[in-house]
Amino acid sequence: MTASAGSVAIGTGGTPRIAVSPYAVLILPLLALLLALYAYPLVKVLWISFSDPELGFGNYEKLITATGIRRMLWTTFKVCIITTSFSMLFGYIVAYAMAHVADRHRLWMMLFVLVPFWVSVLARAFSWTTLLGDKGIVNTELTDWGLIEHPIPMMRNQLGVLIGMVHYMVPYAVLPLYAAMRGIDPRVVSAARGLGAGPFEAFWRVFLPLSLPGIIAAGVLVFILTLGFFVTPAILGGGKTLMIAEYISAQILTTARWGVGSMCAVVLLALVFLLLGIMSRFVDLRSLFGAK
Amino acid sequence: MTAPKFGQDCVEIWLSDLKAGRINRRQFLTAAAAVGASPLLFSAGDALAAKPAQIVHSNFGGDAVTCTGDLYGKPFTAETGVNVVVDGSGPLEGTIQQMVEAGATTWDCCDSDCFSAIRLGHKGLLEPIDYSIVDRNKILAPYTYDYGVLGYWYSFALTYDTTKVPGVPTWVDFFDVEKMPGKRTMWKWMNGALEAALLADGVAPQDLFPLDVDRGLAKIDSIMDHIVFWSAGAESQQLFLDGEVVMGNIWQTRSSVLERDTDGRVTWSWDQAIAMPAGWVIPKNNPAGAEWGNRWIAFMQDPELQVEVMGCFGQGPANPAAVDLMTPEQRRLHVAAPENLEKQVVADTYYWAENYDDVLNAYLDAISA
Repeated sequence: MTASAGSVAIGTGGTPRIAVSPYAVLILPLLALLLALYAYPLVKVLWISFSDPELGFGNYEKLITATGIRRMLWTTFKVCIITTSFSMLFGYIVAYAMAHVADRHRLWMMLFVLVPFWVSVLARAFSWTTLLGDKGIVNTELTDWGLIEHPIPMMRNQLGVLIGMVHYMVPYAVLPLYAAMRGIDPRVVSAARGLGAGPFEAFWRVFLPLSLPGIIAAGVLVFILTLGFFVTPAILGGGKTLMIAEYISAQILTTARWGVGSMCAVVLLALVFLLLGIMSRFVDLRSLFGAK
Repeated sequence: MTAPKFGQDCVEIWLSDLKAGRINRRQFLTAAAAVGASPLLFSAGDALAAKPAQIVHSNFGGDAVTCTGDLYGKPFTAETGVNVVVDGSGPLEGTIQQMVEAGATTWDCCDSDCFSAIRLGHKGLLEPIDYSIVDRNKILAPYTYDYGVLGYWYSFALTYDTTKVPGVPTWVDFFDVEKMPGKRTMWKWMNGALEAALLADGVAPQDLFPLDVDRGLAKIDSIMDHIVFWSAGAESQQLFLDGEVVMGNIWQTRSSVLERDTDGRVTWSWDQAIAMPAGWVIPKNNPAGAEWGNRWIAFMQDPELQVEVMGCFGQGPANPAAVDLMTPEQRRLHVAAPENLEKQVVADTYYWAENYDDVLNAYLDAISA
């Protein structure tokens, strides 16, 4: 992966001149632990996907032949794209505001971003059920005000899944976006204004392009996390939105078709690596994950 | 998945009962007395196999742990000196398979659907049932299998809101949204749904199996916009309490709780309910040994204990003799009371053993389309 300007290229490109710090020895036990507890099971999953129920590419063929799996993948993809788009839109607005308000207000805004961020996904999904149901708070209020005659179906369908997922993902979009925006020198926008650009043009042609690495990083991060959603679709989807995580769980635990389940897991993992690979072309992954 | 989930569900009901103060914990002494009254073959058999330190029974946690541990486990320990540990972490098929294939079986007995017992048995993941220890006569025929026995019943019953549905609806009405408008709910994990759809489509109960899956799915699809799918038992109950559905294909234990909590506003019909036989299996190479696994199952066949356990968390007894020990109210709620069972359609365990994974995947595909 290509490190962006300013980062130190340790371990990339395999150049022999890199000196290994003696302290690196200290991480060896951890590395061994990771290999044993993480890499080995992963290899095993990979192996099962090729060997159960029989050796070969039979499970992977299902990606093409089984309409059910194709449809499930398509649903996953669709839901993730929509969730990511809305999370990024809302996240950008919040992050932009946070980067531009006074410190005192920023603190409060940060608090309101972080508190839901820390609340369990289960609690958040169930909270939505009390808001969005046919007799939930939202529908009751709207009916009482005479705005609607019949309750709007807002959950136990794909809309409910999207609301729950976007709500969950917004903080994940805000934090990297905010970090990126804080790194933008505010004087360049002032300079653009000074040179005759209107407020919108200064944003569109100066601020937005400068925040682009942050947008890509946050977007890929959010998309990757949405791919693995399990609880929210299960609770708010009314059984009609089947995404890959739940599908894998059903194949492993319920129907005990480990080959198909492992195949889906491998596909999911490959997709995540692919996306990380794409992202690494735009941003320094180590800074994104807090390694520097 | 069905039976374990169902077991877990019974526990949830019981937990809420306990919290609401509707029931109290039956004491060990009562249970021990009940056991003392029934002749068991343990003392004679003690010398045959090395006595293990403990039996580990796996079910779905919460207070199924307490009910099984107190009402079956403690008297078993008093009788044999073998401790009973109840592990509530959930004996899903995949979990049993993983455990046995890794050569690390830690469970001696697991809750399981009967069709699941056949499936797991075919895969070589279970110890055979030893019918010289387990008594066939204490199990309603024909629900004894090479690799598992009927241990309890549950049922998918047509449950309805009497204020919104006139008369007693049938599956035909369930699928007729013109005649009876309103949302319906069915189980997301399929069991009971296709059977109901085909019965509604005019298939006679005796011709139901093998299921015409495509026809059933088409029937479900015809009212898809009017169906919400429940996944956990508590959810099915909540849908009725919130008035979001007018009819549902749900576990009858939930129906009876709903009937009580709504003072009869919500009730259910036994007619053409889909009865599910479920029970116990012994995973291959269980730590206590196959013989003790069988003895544990044999112990749980006691009808009085089974009625106690039904009182504890709703699990319907498998032993036909248990029916005679029930109060009329318990009989009314019991899936396998003869007068209730004759109205129902029992799911074909051999059909489901053969087709469960394919049909479940087809169903999941159809409902999430």
